[in-house]
Amino acid sequence: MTNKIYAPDITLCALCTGLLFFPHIVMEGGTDGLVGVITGTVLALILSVFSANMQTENKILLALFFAVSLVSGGMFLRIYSELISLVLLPEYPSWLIAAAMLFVVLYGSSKGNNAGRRFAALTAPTVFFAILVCLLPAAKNADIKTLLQKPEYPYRSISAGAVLLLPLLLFYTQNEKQCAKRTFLSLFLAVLPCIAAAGVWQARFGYPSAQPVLDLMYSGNASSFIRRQEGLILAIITFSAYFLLSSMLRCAAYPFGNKKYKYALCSVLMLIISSMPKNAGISREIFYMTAAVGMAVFTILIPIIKKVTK
Amino acid sequence: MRKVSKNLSENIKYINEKFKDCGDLVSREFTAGNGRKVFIAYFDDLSDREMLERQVIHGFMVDVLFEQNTENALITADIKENNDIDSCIEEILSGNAAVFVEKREKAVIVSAKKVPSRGVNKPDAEISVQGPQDAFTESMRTNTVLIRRRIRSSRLKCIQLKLGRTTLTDTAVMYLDGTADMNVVNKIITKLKNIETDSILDSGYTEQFLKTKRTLFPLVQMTERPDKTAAGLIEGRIAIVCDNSPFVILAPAVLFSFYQASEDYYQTWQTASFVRMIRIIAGLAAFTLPGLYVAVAMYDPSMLPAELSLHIAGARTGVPVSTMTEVTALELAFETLREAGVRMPAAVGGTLGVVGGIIIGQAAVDAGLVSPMVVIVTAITGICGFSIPSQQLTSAYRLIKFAVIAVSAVLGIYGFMLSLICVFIHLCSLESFGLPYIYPLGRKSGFKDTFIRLPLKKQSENEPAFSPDMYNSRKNGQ
Repeated sequence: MTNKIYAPDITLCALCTGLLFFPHIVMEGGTDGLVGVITGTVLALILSVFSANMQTENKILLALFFAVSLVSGGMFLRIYSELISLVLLPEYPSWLIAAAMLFVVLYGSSKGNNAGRRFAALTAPTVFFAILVCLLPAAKNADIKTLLQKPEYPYRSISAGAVLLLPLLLFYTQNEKQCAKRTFLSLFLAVLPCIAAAGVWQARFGYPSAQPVLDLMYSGNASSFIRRQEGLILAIITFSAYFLLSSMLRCAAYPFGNKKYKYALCSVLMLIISSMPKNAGISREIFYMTAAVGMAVFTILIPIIKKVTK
Repeated sequence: MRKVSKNLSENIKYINEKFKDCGDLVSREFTAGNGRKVFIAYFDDLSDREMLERQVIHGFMVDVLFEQNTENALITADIKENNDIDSCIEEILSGNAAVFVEKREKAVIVSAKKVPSRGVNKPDAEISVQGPQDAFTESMRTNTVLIRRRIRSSRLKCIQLKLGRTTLTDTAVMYLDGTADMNVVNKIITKLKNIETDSILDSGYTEQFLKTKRTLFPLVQMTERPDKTAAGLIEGRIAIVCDNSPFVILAPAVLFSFYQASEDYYQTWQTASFVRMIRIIAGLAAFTLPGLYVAVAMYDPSMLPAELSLHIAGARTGVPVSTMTEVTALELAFETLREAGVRMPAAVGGTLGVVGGIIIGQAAVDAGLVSPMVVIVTAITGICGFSIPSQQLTSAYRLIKFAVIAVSAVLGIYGFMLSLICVFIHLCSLESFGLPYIYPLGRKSGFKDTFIRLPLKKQSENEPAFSPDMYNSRKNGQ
């Protein structure tokens, strides 16, 4: 496997992350949302590269990695299945929609890593182009200057600190130039929908949206022939959502080694996490914090452990 | 292995025992010019009787010098000696004649095949308006000749095997030395040799034995065109020619192979590219259109323009079944009609198509059993399937479309997308003798003859496309 093979993985990962998470961050964070977006992309990148090059047998680390991947995947699945339920299938419960997606993810995982890589390479350009066509018109309202301010919230500070950990990527990659290329590409892809989201938010200033992602999709204009294109866009990003979930499932299943049931077990756990009731479950704020902190911890701990154990 | 005996009587007895109750076996014992006894055996009408009488029997009778060199008694061009009597029996079964001579431990096998077969006709399954009009026949030798006619190079190798314990079907593996990947060639030969079956009656049998994965998609390509086979060999592919089959197997085969027609290369690149794009879009529609219609009509009719969605809703007024049932029933009816059309004699088949397609379809709409939009969707799906040059790929799409319809009926456009993901993942997981099935998708190069066909000047024949070694070296070099 060469580093070039990861390029479409990273692309789709960042694209989906950007589309479904970052509008919320921009809405909630407002002025420092863009910083949060950048750090989030970096962390997603680190997680992806880290999972591909992971070489540790430490059980605590493996358990932590398993927990972070599972929770991240479960929460992402929750957000995504709720959106699908809201826009496309209102009469279906979101757990059923999540289960359908997990079934497909399980099928894809059973086909091996090569199939996943090829799928990502096959769909990345198409998905990216389709989403770009739909979302770029929404970016015209964005005022970038107001977004570039100091971070105010603690978890965003931690996330911002992760930007400084970018050089640590060198521990996990074989080729520095490729690493740099992929990083910039991912940042560009993540920032693009964020600018579009910012444009939507700024245009609706004074009317906070409960569903900034949907607002983002409403603002697009793919074709005059198709109405309710938010459904179409959401359907298209099913491809990148699949890829992100399959990456999370692979990460979560990694500690189980070569056991046959690992993907099925992790799928069931992910479904349970995604189906947890809101009051007793993990809120979106805690999820962002967990994902950001968890991924930031991994980027610090592993190099230190490696150095110490040498 | 049972050796040929010096005692002629033993050989005759063995042959007669093996071919007991075979009334079509011709055997004759006679005395040669030098007084030695000779025995010849062959199958009537499988071997050239006139040639054997004229060249072989007459040759033995008049030539007295064959004591030193048996071959000199015979005027035929193709003879060989064999000391294994069971192997001689196989040669007799293949249409050759076996000649046993008293006091000699080796029999002489004379090539005298005269297998009845039809002449070289036009292709039935892969019709083209422009280009060669010859097609393969049931004779393996004729087929290899048709290929050699097009590739006049000593690099074109032909390895012959016999497949099937009972049928002992002659099979030739042809490849271009220096172009084809020898790992693939050896892999194919090994697989063929390991086929454990009594009969190989057609190349379709061989195709199924070569398949390594459970999939509806074809992993090798079947063709009845010599020009397509020759082009495939030049690209680095391997051809498997089976006796008694007018279809030759080409391996490896990737998804885009099944969208390429011979005619693409006999027209201008602009026309060919346009037609190729239509085929690819039609291929996608062949298994997605019914499912997409079901998803949109059942769950999201508001996605369509208001006039169209009202029209669809109005057309469905009075239809007693759901959209999914409507679409499934009509697709099944179309498949039944297609199957009936294939089995019917040519004189009746055309009439049946008109009766079934137009009259019954119209009657069903008038009776309110189905809506006109579903008839149109089914018809377009069928036409899209017919536009794909390969029947193998069309067959896969015909089955997949029912699964897509079912999932779309349950989960709407979300289910439709999930089913597409499953299909694409499955395609991405397939490999044909080491080559990814979706090659060259996902790569930066190799697109000169996929979605469009670039001018022939820009397609370098020094870069064989079907060599897994080439693919791997490019991948590692990226």
